Amino acid sequence: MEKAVIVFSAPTCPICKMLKEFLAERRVDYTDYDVTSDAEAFARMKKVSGGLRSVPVIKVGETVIAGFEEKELARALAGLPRAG
Amino acid sequence: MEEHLPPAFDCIILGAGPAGLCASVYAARKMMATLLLGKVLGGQVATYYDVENYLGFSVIEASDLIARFREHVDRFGLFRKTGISITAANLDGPVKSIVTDEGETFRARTLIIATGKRPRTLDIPGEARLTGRGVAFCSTCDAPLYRDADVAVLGGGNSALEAAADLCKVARSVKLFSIGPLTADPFLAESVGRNEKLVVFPRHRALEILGEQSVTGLVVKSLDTGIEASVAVEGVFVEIGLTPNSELFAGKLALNPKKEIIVDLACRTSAPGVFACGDVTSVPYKQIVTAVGDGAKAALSAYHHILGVPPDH
Repeated sequence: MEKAVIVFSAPTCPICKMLKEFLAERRVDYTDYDVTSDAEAFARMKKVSGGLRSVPVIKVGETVIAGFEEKELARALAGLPRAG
Repeated sequence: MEEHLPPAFDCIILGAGPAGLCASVYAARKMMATLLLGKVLGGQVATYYDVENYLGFSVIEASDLIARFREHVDRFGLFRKTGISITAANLDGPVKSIVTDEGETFRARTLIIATGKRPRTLDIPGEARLTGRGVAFCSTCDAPLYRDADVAVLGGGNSALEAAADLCKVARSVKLFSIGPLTADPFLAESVGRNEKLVVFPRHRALEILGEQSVTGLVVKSLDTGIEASVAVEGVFVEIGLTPNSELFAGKLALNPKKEIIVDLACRTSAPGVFACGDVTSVPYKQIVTAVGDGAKAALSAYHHILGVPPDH
């Protein structure tokens, strides 16, 4: 099942890797799509981001973030409903 | 980040790339109360896939090197904050102050500027509007998204040729436009230049990037004939070098014509108590290993400044 946090990434992208480390440190579950090998995910990334062709793109709930900006991402994550 | 910050630090380091990180290690080792502020941990290294010939590693993934840097720095328990920008700096007097984009003000007896460089932009129509929509500055990240596409690379140095090499692996065609002759290392230029997908156009200037929602083309002008031509491409990779992140210090510190902060052999700037290291400085041969070395020097100079003794005392 797809998580509330979705990462569109590329395996060669060092910033994508840092983003995933950031999420892992905060124990944020996420669904990761490799847009270089998944054409459907690539098309979806472009659709949700208004045509972006650059990774990473992060979808947190309904918020879409281009690139890895720590503060912006932390704000978006803080707005997610908490389980339990 | 720890909760209770001291009212004033011995040293604030601006920039979390190799220079700033190494400076923080050396400052912390001297028991200086140190605050490290930066936008991205790893700095420019974070935009590369791997790093070659950093001593001890013939090749290492950039993210692994950054993880090692981070682990090393965090052993010292210094105050570290990333994801922020500096909006103001007061370099006068014995206590320096800086303001972050979060509105916080920090003060210290010494300041080490290690703010690095960022990709230089062309400042031509279409570039800013279409960035991320076909205009790219990181081939390591974005080249794989241009499978079977026609793309252009702008630039003639090593980074341009490396971008062309990345793109030749996936794209249908790669056109490289360079204002002058190629300045890349001959070995690189020769090996990339053999790729049948690549066509090099020296002495061509980019005038405009075309497209509404995404890039559809590029207008270039031949510097020999003056003829302008429109080239259909889906991607434009801008690789025309780097510009120093020194704007905040213009008029406060001596800069060279490249806007780099002028430093002496002890990494001292024109302002007492203010030091600089890494790519933002006038030091030649910008390499990770030289940035790291200068980071150490800057921290030791800051330490000696606080002691009131000359460098290498």
